[in-house]
Amino acid sequence: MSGISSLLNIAREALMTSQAELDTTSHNIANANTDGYTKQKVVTEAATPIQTTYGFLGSGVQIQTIMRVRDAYVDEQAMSLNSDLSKATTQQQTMSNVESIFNETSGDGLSDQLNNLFAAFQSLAQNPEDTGIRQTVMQAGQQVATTFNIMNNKLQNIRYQVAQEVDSDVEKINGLASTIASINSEILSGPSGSKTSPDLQDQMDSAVSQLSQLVNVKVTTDPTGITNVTAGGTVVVAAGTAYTFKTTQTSGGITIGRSDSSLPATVTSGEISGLLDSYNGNVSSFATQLDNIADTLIQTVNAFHSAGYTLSTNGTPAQTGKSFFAGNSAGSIAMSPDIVSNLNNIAASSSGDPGDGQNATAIANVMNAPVMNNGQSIVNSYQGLIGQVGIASQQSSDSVQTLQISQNQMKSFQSSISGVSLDEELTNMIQYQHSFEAAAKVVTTTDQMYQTIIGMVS
Amino acid sequence: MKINETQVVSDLLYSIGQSRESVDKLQEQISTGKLVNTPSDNPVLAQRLMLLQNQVNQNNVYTQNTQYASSFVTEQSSALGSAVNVLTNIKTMILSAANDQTPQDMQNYGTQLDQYINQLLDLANTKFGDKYVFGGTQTNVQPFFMNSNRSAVTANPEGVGGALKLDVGFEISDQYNITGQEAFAGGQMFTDLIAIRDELNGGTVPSQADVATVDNYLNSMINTNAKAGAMGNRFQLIQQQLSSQTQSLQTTMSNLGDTDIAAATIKLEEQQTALQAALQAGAGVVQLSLANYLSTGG
Repeated sequence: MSGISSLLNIAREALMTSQAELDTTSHNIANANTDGYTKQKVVTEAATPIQTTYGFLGSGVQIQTIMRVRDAYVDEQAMSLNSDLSKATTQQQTMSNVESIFNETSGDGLSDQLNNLFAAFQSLAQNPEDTGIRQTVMQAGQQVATTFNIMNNKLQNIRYQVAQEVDSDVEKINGLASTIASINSEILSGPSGSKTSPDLQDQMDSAVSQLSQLVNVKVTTDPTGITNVTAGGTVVVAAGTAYTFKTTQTSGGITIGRSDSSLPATVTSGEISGLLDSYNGNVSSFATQLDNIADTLIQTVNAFHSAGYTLSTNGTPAQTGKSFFAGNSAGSIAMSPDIVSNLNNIAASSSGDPGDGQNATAIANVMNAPVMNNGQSIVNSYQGLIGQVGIASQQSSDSVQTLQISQNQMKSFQSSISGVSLDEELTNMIQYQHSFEAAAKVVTTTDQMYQTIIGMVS
Repeated sequence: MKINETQVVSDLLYSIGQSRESVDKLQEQISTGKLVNTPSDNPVLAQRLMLLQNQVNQNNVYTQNTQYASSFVTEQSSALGSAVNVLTNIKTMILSAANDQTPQDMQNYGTQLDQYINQLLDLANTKFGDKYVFGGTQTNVQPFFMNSNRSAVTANPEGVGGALKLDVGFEISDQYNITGQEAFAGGQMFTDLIAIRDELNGGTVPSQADVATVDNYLNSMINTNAKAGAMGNRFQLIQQQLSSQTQSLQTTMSNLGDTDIAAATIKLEEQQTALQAALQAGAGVVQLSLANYLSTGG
């Protein structure tokens, strides 16, 4: 049989527990809009009962722990979805930049320039002896060359920017890895067996989640709260140690990997994955195709052009062997110096006669003849390239859309578990307040009981 | 499932964003009148439209070529028509010369024939713009020259028989000139007429062979002119075909790529209503909270 004082003890514990619960509720309400905040909850348990001759007598409530309300499985799903989404978003941004280079629907793109060159050579065929039209032909050629140059320039610029972003993302990875490692150290240096603060865990989660937006990560957390992280298949954080990453750029493309290893990391999702895919994949392929088209145009036009005759003037006889274009890629294509120095060097004639424009016709037909390696014409190949760009861009924005929807669902699922609902907190508040009031009532009742006992004595 | 305030707000923003995006897309389609404004709007359609546009552009070039060819040959035809008249006059003159006898008459005829030869020479050196139309591919060199003592006409030694050609379809090359070789027998016609003129000037009455020579040239000139006319008609026909082709290509492009304004406007109306509803519902939902009731009750 316990004394009245144990009644006071039970009431005191109950008051303290209700207060702790109200504290946590208030903490939750205060952080309702904090990014990455996980709802906290006071876990209570019945205190060890006291054994009496007639059985176990309850000894009130005690706080077991203050925990974060979360579902590890859902969190992991959300993180991997995040990683995929930021990859897709990065790709979409890059593709939309690339698409703006290939914007042909506005009517002043390369395909119009090629058509102008075709038309210019056709009108040269009408009046091959006319210098004015030769000027038009040269300008049209110049325009084609300049358009190729500009497109190539912009593509290379995008690649350069992407490479820069990879560098800055790798810096971010290194920063986050050292943050995680230092949180680990903090946990390690704490009193052993002490529980990790939920807010420190939130900080850890936030760092890991930021990391997962950059690169695919795998996280293992031991019961003490120490988090080990693998990024791109290699260890970046092991307890208190962080390993740095570096980028390696070769002619074959960009790879990232640990600074102390020559093995590249296997990057499958996250922003860096999107950047690397764009740099090493799509953008590089588009640039190569553009180079191919430019090269074929130069080779084929020159083949016809050098077989034709220049316009004879002032005693200079008509001659063959002159080039129209110079260069061998989208970046280097230019008008040949022969043409720039003398318009009469445009070889319109296939016989040497000044009125013969059949070579001009032949050159014009290069644009639409099947001269590419794949049996397509230059104009069609270019249109095919536009189609590829369009499809790539469309696909990337489609996958962003799809992932966005999944992420929204995941977020609302996650937030239904870990998020703070003000309605819920307020309901809890009323509940805890009532518990507090009831416990206080027990104290006053005990007080009256003491009075009664004292009254009995006096 | 528990839904909390931040979630309501983020869902609301997401759906409003989606609505705005569709409104924006429709707005763009209506204002540009085009369904495809960037290749990714519809890559397949974009490529198809470019292909059609390319065909239209090519057709325009071929149309220009046929127009040029047609006006060139029309110029030739009109020169050849005049040449037919001159040769008819020469024939009439030669026939009447055969009936007259005196050397004085013959000399008069000779002077007249010389005039006709001049006229024919002018016609043979007809220019279209800066081009000599009967010079073959030597378009910037006068094709036929009378020497100073008017005893012979020489043709450009580089030749006057070159064919001028232009494309009137993809790799369909068509000749569009009557050469000086064909129309004036490469200058032989002038040589033969000068021989007759010299005979007349010498007082000789034109022979039956002379009449036959002139008659031959006249007939051949009539045939050549007819050929030029046929050529002109041919180019006009091709031009008509090209233009009807272009028209049907443009119709296809318009059917495929133009915004159906009526449908798009109705859709836009729908989307706007949806957006308005989302905004209104959102404004109502965001304000709902238990706190409102607690504060008034407490």
